[in-house]
Amino acid sequence: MHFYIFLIKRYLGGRGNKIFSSNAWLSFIGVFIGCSLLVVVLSVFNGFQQQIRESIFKFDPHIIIETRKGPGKIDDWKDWRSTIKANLGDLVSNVSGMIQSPALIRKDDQIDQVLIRGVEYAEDITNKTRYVLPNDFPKNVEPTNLKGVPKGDYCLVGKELGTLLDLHVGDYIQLIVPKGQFTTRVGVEPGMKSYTISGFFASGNYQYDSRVILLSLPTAQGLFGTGDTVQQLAVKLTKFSDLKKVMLELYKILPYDFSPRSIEQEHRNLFSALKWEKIIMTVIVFLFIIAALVGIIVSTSNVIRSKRKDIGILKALGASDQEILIVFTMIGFLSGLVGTIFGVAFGIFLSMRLEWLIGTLEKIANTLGSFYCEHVSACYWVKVELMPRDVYYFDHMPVSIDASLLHPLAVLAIFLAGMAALIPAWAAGKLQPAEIIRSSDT
Amino acid sequence: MNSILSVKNIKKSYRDGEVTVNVIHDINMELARGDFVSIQGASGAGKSTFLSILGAILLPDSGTITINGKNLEDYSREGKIHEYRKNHIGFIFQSHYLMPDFTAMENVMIPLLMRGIKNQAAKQKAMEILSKVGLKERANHYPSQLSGGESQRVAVARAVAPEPDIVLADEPTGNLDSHNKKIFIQVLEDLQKSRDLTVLVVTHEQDLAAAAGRRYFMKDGYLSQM
Repeated sequence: MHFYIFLIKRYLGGRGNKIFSSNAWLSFIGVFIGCSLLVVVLSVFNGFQQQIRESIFKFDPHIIIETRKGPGKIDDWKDWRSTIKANLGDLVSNVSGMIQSPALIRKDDQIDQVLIRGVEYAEDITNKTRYVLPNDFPKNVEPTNLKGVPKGDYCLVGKELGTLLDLHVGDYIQLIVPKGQFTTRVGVEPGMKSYTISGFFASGNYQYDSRVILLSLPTAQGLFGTGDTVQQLAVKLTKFSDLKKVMLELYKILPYDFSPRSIEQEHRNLFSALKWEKIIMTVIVFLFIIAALVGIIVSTSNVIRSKRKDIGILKALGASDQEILIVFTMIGFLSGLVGTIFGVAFGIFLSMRLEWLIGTLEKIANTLGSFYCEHVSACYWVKVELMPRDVYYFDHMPVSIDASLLHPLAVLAIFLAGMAALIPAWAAGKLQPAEIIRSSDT
Repeated sequence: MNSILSVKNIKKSYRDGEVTVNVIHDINMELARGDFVSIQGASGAGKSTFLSILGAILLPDSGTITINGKNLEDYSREGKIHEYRKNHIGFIFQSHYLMPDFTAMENVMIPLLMRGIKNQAAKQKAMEILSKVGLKERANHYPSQLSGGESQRVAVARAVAPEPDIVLADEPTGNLDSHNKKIFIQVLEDLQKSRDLTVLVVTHEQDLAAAAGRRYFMKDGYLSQM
């Protein structure tokens, strides 16, 4: 063991017992950068995925039950709500009636297309004129202390829609919806009604925040003129992991006329795209690590080439093939090991400070750019935004460090570093002292 | 005679294209503990090849080499030729062949560490030998900071430190000036006598050959005692 440590320490650090020789630094830096990038990319992708998931899962019911013909009327929805609650018990946190339909919004001269969602709010027992907002309702609302909605002709509007149409709390809007039965004589009769905006919500999902208007279920029923019926039953689960189990139970409980649809089925394409995006990015970044491993092969080969005479001497002194193999494999392996550990640690640090880093880079780019335009060339500097908020619709950089994924990747990177070093070290172990000494003499 | 090394009917040839060149012809030799033997001969006579065969750097075509009762062929068959070199042989080459990234002391320590001796003990022993060859003050110098004569004395210390059964020296004074040659011969003689070393030296040098108790001459691969 002393023999190995003695040689590895010197070949890794060179004379003067430095930490790394130039060759070892080459291996270290390659793996370090690769691992750091891998951690940052995976953390950002995880964060994006989680943010999108959360924004959808928080706002949407986990399961929607409709009639098999599509969003038609469910007359006996209260009975079915009780049946589902009784059968599924603690598996579900809430079962409620819901109406969801496209509509037109009119504010002064502006008309836009929106989606109306009529949801069941709980009664406020302290104030009979109000509903209480559910606990999982998006926190980011205006006014910020909004806890409930007044009963009657009031609505909650998506924050982005409010910005687009310049809406404010207390403003009146008109909603135009198809009403009644379709007839060949007049088609569908439109229903139109005015509502007061009681607040704005921000789910974190641009699609919802720019399109959805929330009404209480009785208000929505009044608008569509459906009486005490709903189009859908909305199920929220206590634990999302029970989704499959609950779906199976619902298939058992519900008659054939009803069709339950899970949130995963609803957003299958999006989640599938996110998953594939993450896999592809992981593969791409892992290819960078593979390139770094080629660096380990090259640098270990360099060390072996420069120490060829030493290998001949060591073998003439009695070192075995295996001892030479271990010494030179360990040199590459240790560079990879240290590179991976520091790379992962730096990647985690970078991920945690990514928002600050992006902000700083933006500031530097904008300062330099405006200085250039003002003092060097007469031009107009367009402000650089590395993470445009209106495109990505996140008020912060969503980063989620997934240790369960990083751990196997780091272990794999370390293992591959050892394998990469093994290739040239194997050849070193097979060198014959006679050949080396003869070639050194000439 | 209590034989340490027994060489019987050793032959070695090389293929040079179509031609087979016989380098060593039927060499026999017995070495006992404490023997100091020299082999002289012209360049190309086969001296270095013979020495390489004794050090298991080359293997003979035929014949047997027995060291302390164990046949070299057995080591080869068991894939443990390195054990033969490590446990029985100390090498001194014409060029000192010190490892440039290691100090004089570290170079001497390497064969000791290779034999499983712990770091501190190896250091102590290396210093002791370096003192004997007059290089205590130069122990922490790298080979590039040592003169040719000093480097060759470090090479002697390295060969002798693990107390091998035989020290093989191939033209050890070939690259030294007359002053350093004298010092080297003196050092080798002193160590051989004080430690009862078995030394086989291949040389052109009359002075070094004369220091040996038994002298051989090699011509065209044939060995004869002088």
